[in-house]
Amino acid sequence: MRALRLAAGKLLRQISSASNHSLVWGALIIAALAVGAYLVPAISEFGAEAANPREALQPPSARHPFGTDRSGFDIFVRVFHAPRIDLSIVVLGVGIGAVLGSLLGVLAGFSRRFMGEVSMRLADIVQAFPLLILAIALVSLGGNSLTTVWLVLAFVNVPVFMRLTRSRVLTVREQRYIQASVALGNSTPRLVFRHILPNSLGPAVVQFGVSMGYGILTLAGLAFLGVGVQLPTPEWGSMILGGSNYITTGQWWISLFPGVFLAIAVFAFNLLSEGIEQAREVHAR
Amino acid sequence: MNAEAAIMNARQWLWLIAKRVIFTIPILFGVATATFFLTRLAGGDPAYQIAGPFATDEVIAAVQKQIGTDMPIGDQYAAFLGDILRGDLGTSIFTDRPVISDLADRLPATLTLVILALAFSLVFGLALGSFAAYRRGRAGDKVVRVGSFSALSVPDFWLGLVLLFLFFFRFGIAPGPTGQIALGATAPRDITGSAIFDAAITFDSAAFRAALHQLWLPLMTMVFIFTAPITRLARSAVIESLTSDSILFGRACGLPKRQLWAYATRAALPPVVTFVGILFSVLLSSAVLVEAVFSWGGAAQYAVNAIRQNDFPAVQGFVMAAGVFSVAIFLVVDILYRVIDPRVRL
Repeated sequence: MRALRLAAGKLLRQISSASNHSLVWGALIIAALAVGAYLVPAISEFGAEAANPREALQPPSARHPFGTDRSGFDIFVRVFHAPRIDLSIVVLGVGIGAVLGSLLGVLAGFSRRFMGEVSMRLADIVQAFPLLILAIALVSLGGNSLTTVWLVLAFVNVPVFMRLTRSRVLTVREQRYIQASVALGNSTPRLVFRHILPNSLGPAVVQFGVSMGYGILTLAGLAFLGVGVQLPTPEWGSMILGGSNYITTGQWWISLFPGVFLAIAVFAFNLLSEGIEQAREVHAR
Repeated sequence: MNAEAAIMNARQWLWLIAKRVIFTIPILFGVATATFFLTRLAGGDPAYQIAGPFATDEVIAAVQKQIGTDMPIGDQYAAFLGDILRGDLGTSIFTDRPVISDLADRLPATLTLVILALAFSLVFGLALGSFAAYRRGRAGDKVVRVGSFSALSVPDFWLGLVLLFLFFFRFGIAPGPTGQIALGATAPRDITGSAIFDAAITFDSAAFRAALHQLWLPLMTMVFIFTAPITRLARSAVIESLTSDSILFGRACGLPKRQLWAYATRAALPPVVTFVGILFSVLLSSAVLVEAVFSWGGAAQYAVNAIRQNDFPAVQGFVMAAGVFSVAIFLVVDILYRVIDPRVRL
């Protein structure tokens, strides 16, 4: 815990020492999406899962700013409601994957012996499979539920973070301050968790934003294929799927708006990631 | 180069390639093992899925006997490996044909999309990236940088739908989502399963035009998505090589700026080629979605249908095939890397 607090403190100092537009905007957009997910449904007169067949397939209007879909769902309220599912599942899945992966990466980098090699080869093999295909297969075979989705997101992200952290550990462990702390007689756990871990998390923190963005795209892609989140749950990918049959007959609004919000969310996480990277570079100079 | 040296060189190359291929065998074994245990771990006994939710115990037992899941897991694994060595990926429950021939029929359609998308994205990405590097900090660079960064966030399947709406519904210059060859259009003689390729090798110009007409929209979708990461990587690689000592030396020698730029772009190729290896598996993932949007009828769509129909052997076969393809691409990339950068020892 102390190690994490140290790492977080270091990161915060790095961030606040720079005027960093990417970081600020990325964080602001994500915060806006999260607040909107609770604010907009609360003040809207339409429910996110309230069907109204008499107002089905209506184009955008003052009453329905983003139109309605086949069942008469108000797309505006659903698009804002969606981060409750999209962001929370992806934060949970990628977060667990990142924590587990980074810890394994520290161990693999520190031990360097048999276990290190074996775990890296296992990571190689898991990463040989195209991510979305692996995710589809695992989610559909493991039961089409949200629990499986976040478990799979965690599973596919473990090798990513493990690899990044391990390669950083390999450089950090050769640094003079690590030698110094060995010479001072620190115990191995203290060496690993107090000195190596906080200094090895940088690349993983940068990767987290990228992985979040890709996780959101994966979740939505799965839902688009009918795997994972299903209608009528408000989720961007399944909403795009709901409109896909109407695109060739001209009802563009059903798929367009969820896709725009999906892209904005991914964009925000990419910005955040770039901002963190910039902050680290400024600090390193 | 004299003949003797050429033979030596060829021998070196053969040895090099053989060595890489041998290194690939344990990885392929790992891919097969992972396919078996991952699908089994996630899904449990496929007999329950095959038999359906209302099956009696006798039916399930019969199915288990038929597909061999009544054996201990070790025996099942051995049988699975043995089947793979004989080129047997099981029989699809839905099409009742061997999974391997189902995949062989449909993979060419997927690979057409993936390989053409990769080729075009590489050309555009390298051009845009080295242009941006050359104009670093100026307006052109900013446009490319902002554009490629934003394009990273665009969902491929959504872009496909938007393009369909614009070019099919609004402008009427693209076909609807009707697969590789539209109903009623002149189809080429089916040789490989890739319409455009078959039309090209049979010199069937009418069918070629028909196939091209179907191809350009899904291709454009994927090229738009994959040009972005290649552009970003190419830009930073070219900038790095523009500031290298060799370019500095060239500048000191008074080489024209354009020539220096060409050298820098050439020197930036190795990281881009390495990246292609990683990108390929992302392209396969993307093809799953793009095929679904355009009803492309390739292997990826086959796999999605297999999942909807609980066709366990087909899913397992496709996952396995995708893994093998990624490994094969890594092999090709490794060897290509040596061609591009002869300093590297494999």
